[in-house]
Amino acid sequence: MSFVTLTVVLVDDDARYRRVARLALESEGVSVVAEAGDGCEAVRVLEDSRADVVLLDIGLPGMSGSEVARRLRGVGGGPVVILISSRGADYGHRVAEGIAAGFIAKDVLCLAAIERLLVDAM
Amino acid sequence: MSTRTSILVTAACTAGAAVWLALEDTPQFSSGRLAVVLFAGCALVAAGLLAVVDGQQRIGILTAAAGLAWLLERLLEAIPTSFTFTVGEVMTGVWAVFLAHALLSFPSGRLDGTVERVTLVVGYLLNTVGNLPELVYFRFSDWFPHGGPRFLLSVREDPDLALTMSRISDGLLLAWVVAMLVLLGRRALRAGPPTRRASGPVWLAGAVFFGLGILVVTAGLGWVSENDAYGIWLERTVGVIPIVLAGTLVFARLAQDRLVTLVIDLERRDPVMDLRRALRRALCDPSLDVVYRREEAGGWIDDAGQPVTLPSAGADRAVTPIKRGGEEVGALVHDPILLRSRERMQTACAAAGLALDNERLQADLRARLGDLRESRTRIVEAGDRERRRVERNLHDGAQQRLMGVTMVVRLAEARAKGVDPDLDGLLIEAASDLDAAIRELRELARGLHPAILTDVGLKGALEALAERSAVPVQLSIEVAEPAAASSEVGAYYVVAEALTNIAKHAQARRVTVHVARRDGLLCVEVADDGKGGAQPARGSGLEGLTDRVDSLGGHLRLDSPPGKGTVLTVELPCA
Repeated sequence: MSFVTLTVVLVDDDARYRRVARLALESEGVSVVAEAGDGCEAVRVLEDSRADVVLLDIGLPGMSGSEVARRLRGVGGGPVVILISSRGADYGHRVAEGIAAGFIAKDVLCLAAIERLLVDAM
Repeated sequence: MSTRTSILVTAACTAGAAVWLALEDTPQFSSGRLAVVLFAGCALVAAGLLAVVDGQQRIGILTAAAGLAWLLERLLEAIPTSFTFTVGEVMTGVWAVFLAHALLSFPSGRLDGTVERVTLVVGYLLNTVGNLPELVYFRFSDWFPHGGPRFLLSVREDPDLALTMSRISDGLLLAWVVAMLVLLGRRALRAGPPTRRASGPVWLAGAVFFGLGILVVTAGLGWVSENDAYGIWLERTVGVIPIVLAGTLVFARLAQDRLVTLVIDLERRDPVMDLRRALRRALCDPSLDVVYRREEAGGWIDDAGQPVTLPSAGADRAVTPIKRGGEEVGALVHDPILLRSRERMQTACAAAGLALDNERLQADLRARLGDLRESRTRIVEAGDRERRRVERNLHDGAQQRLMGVTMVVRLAEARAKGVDPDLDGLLIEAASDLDAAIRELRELARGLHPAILTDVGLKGALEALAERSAVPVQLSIEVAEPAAASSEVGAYYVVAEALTNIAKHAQARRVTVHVARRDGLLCVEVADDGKGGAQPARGSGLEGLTDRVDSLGGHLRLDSPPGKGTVLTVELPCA
């Protein structure tokens, strides 16, 4: 698995976390092409921008991350969906089952974790 | 025997004997007919006495008076003196009014309304002074061609005028008998089932009596062929009426005995015999209900502890209060017809009052238990809501911030690497502390409320629990569709608490968790192969679980024989 530059869209309602996550991911060479603060905005953003991966917070206000993931699943050729949450993996993996490529807890979000899931998803 | 009873007995015996002696040789009375006349009179007096002894004073006196008047009329006719003859002729038929009065007013002896009273007064007048217009012109010399008693009030002998007067008075008499029959029918139609059952035979006898009366009078008027048979049948009917009266009174006595049985039943506090059923049986009213006073519930509650509204006045239900020590403790809601049997109602209410204290306490207790169960459910629900809120706050607040801080520290750690070894070391420690804090916080949040249950469902939530368990868990879940959220939360806590306890105390090697929906119940069974002997100690998690399960209307059973493992079984309603 080798990407020239991995492009991601970051969806989380906490702007501070988005800032920190963008910084951390970009320091590893990931390109954060767009951000969104809620489910509806995420759907809009993903229509406009092409990205390899969308990092989707489960607990979004309004349309939840799970709902956005379900909606994206129906669209072919879209980005790989990875759910994120501050809750633990035992919770996240089960929510992600069937609707996303996988789950990463927010505190351990990094390029390596994303790549692991991408490999599993292939 | 009271003075009044003694007088009646003596009078009846004397009159009976006198009639027998006087009529023994009279050609118009065959010995058979004489026997019927004597029997009818004596039986009426005897039935009257029975009624008086039974406490039915009015009916008793009216019936006995009818008997005495019946005997006296025949006696006076037979005694050949002008005075007795005159009195006998004037009071002809008064016995029939006494008897009609008794039949119509059975069983209380009270007349109902002005129409009945006026009709009875007219009856008494018709059969006394009403006889006079004919009598004063009647040619009695036709009766006694060889001399005999004279009619003392005679004005002159004028057969034509007498006949006219006789026609008029017979016409009025006919109208009166018809009116009596109508009034009797009206009573029967208006009566409810208990009264109809109790008084039916007497009313039927009355109807036959009045019917024959109509025939006798119309025969006198010449409207139907003159026939002595009507009179003979009337005499026989008069003989039957006291038997019917006495029989009805005996049955009423049996009803009274049912009240006595009621008192005995209630005194014994037969657990099978509840108050309502006992009263329904004793008062023969299957619609009867017992209600209890309860100030807090806004007035009245039924025996299940549910608040009830009493029927308003004038409705087709009547309410009789039950009092204890001057205080209204309850009431009977019943068929209004029972109000006519005042004494029975009083006896029943007195008996009910005795038992009611106990019943009322129980109904009150059930109401309080219901309140308690509801309030416990509310407390558990409020607790759940609060835990969910706190978990949500932790997740959105502290946990979220820690995520960011951890990421920042990791970033700083990466950038500080090789630049400043001291700072590098500190940042590594900080990241590790943060990891530990996040783990603890997640554990705390999970204990507060299983978010996974809401987002993933019971199956996933239980799988997550099984994964985390220190003792290996074999999980089987047969739940096709979700149960009520509160029951699923309950089931989750049951398994979570059981797994925690097993890990802490049971020394088990394996656990099986089985969850299934059966007959509208969510059944949870957690079994381990540990040392057993588990006891739900006060303040333990198990006690909290019992409270939670109870509040949901479920059941919890713990089977834990020493050395043979522990099985915890919980059933929760699905809906």
